[in-house]
Amino acid sequence: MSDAADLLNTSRDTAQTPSPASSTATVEGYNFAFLDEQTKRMIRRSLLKAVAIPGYQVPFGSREMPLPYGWGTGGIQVSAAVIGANDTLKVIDQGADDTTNAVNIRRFFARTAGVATTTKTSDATVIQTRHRIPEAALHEGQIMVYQVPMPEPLFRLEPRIVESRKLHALGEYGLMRVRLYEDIVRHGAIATTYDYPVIVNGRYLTSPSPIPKFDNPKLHMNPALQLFGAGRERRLYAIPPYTPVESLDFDDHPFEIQKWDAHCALCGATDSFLDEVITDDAGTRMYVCSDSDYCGSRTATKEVA
Amino acid sequence: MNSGTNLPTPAHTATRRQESVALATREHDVMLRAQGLHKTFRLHAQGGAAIPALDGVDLTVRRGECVALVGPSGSGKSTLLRCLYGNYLVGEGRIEIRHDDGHAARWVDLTTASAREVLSVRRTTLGYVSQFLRVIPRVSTLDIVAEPLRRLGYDDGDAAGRARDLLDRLNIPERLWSLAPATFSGGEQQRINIARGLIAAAPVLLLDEPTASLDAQNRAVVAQLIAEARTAGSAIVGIFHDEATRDEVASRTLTMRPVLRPAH
Amino acid sequence: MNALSNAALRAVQPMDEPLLRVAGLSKHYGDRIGCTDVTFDLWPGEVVCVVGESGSGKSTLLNALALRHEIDAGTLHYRGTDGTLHNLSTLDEAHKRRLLRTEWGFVEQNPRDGLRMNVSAGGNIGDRLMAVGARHFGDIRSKARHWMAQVELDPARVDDMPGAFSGGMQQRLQIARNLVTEPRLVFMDEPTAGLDVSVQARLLDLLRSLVERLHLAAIIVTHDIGVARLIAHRLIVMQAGRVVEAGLTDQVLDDPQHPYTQLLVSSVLPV
Repeated sequence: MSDAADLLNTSRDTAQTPSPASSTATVEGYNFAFLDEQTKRMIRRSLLKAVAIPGYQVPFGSREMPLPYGWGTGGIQVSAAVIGANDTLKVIDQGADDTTNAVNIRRFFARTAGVATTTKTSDATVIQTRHRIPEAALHEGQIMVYQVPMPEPLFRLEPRIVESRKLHALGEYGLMRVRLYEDIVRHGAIATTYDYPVIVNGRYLTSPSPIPKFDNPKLHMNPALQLFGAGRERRLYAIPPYTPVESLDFDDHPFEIQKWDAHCALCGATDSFLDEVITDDAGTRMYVCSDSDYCGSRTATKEVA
Repeated sequence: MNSGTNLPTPAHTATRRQESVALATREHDVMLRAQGLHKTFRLHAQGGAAIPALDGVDLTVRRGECVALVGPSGSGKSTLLRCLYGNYLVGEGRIEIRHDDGHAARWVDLTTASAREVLSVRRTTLGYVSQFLRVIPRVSTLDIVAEPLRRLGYDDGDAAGRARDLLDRLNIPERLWSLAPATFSGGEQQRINIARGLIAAAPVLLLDEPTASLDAQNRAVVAQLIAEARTAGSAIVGIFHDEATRDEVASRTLTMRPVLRPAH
Repeated sequence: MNALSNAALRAVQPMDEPLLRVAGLSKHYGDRIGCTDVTFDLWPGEVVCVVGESGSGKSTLLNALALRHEIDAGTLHYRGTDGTLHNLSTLDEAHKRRLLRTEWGFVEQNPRDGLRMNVSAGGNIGDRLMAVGARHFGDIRSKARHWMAQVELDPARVDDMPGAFSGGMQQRLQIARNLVTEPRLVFMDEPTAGLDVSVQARLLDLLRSLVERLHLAAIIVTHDIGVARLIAHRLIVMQAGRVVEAGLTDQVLDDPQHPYTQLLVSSVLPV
């Protein structure tokens, strides 16, 4: 097996506790953060373009990564391009730091960049995420890196790339509004619950990645820099700090986030995104915060109190 | 009002002499003035055969006049009427209509006017009652008759009211008013045609065999309607196959003869 | 705002200037002539039919006028709502598309080409409204229902998919889709072709009354002279890419001058 595969393979040291940067921990034969410097420059150039045109999809030369498409190659490339030796990295998958993918990606960077890692949102300088935005508010100086499977929000409605590019160029998004109209006709309400389309900076229609619509309001005027990477589709886009982001809706069917009748069974939170967990074969269920860090720190506070 | 280089036939001369005399005294009443009309049909399918139809026709009509075109079949009566409506083109000559478009009265020469102008003249000044009713699918008899008034801006209710009166006078049974006339008899269609053609009292009226396929009673009604139009000041040119009606409504006649040799 | 108010306004204050000016328009396909040297003006509220048989160039002309093809020669000018004459050849893509979506309409021969088949009737009609910024679902839906009634479709079927309608109804749906933005000029490509005769008659009559009530200008391509006689003010006859005769509809049909026009008119089977 290759060294690269080893990096992601089943070595049982999971990084549950923050670990400091250590140059001796980096693997030999690989550049800092795995990618060569020219590639990082190429990605950074594209990222600069993306930041200059909020919400606009910038093509980039996506590289072969030591994991298949669909597993976050885009997010990893973006993180690799922006991460520095003094950064502290947090990786979450579906809100949790301890799921397999989050663990592996965190260890990947620990080994190839030797950077410090953490599970605490407020301590991180770079946060790579799949499918959630942390509950804790982000602050200036932080970078959120989103893993994106399909960057084109119009894909299902207009599969022709030439045509969808024209629609973006001309700002013609009636097609998406028609789709939402049809949702209301068929279901009485807009049926999209994740990857809910937004307009960034009043101009570009953007896919916020498959985050639940519960998280959409967090995109708006966020103090952090938000970067989006799609490895398979070879696109990057960005939402600079303090950019207006508006979820599409109708005046008489305004955008609404999800609500639960329950609270978190572990920490008691009523304001976070809850996962439903089936606990036995009889179908007993409980609701738990999806954001493990948020939940954990609330529980810790309660215990201390 | 000279007729060019062609020698006029005796019948035309007589009419024109009458007209010259009248002109001197009543120029401002002239509504239609046609001069030197020539027309030849060219049938390309028949090897370019040229069929002459009009050979130097002059006609002036004043308010309140009804000129009856008389002559044997093939003498160009219907052709002349259609030329006066702009439905046929003339090869030579002028056809001037005194047209009031709501702003001012002016002379429009149908032979040089644009399609738009001709339509404008037809909308308010020039009416034509053909021999055949053009049936528009699904439009009721009442609406067909009321339409010319609606086009002129009359209120829906008024237009319908006057249409009903006219249909009544022309003995169209009320049960037919809400139906489209496609399935009516020839006589019924003809009367609806007349109602539609006369309802708006156009200043210039062209009537092509308005009493064809009508019985005596209805012919009398039509003659009455024409008289009323004359009294209202319309200038009328008509073809009346039925001599009795012609004698009743016409103030004078214009005799036409078939053109014997190709004009050009 | 009453959906007919714009049209009513237009009828009361008619423009004294042509809406569309076409001069020397030509479109070639390599060596082949698509259409050549076409010149005419179109006035507000006027219906012009372009008739001719297959290969006459009438469809090429229509597509060139509707900016779907680049023209090779000639000029095309359109008078906007502000009264200024725009040269359509110099119009950029964004303006072209906006024009086609608001002030102009295009009714395709096959309604399936002019409708979104996977979107409900209401969504199809509301499409153009949403494209120009309509944001109130209830409004959009009630406007859609209104226009369905205008084209004699049952408004209760506003949520039905186009596939659930017959061909004639789909064509009417397509017309409603175009009319919702109250265009001033509508292009139609053989709007009655492929429909049953009785359906054709009904559709034609609908078109006739809509054109009158809404003061629409229209350029309609057809090979059916009966269509022209019923709804056109003027007729343009084309043969082999050229205009051979043009004029008042009843005049061209009753007193055709050109050999081809005479042939066309005499070929119509009497009913």
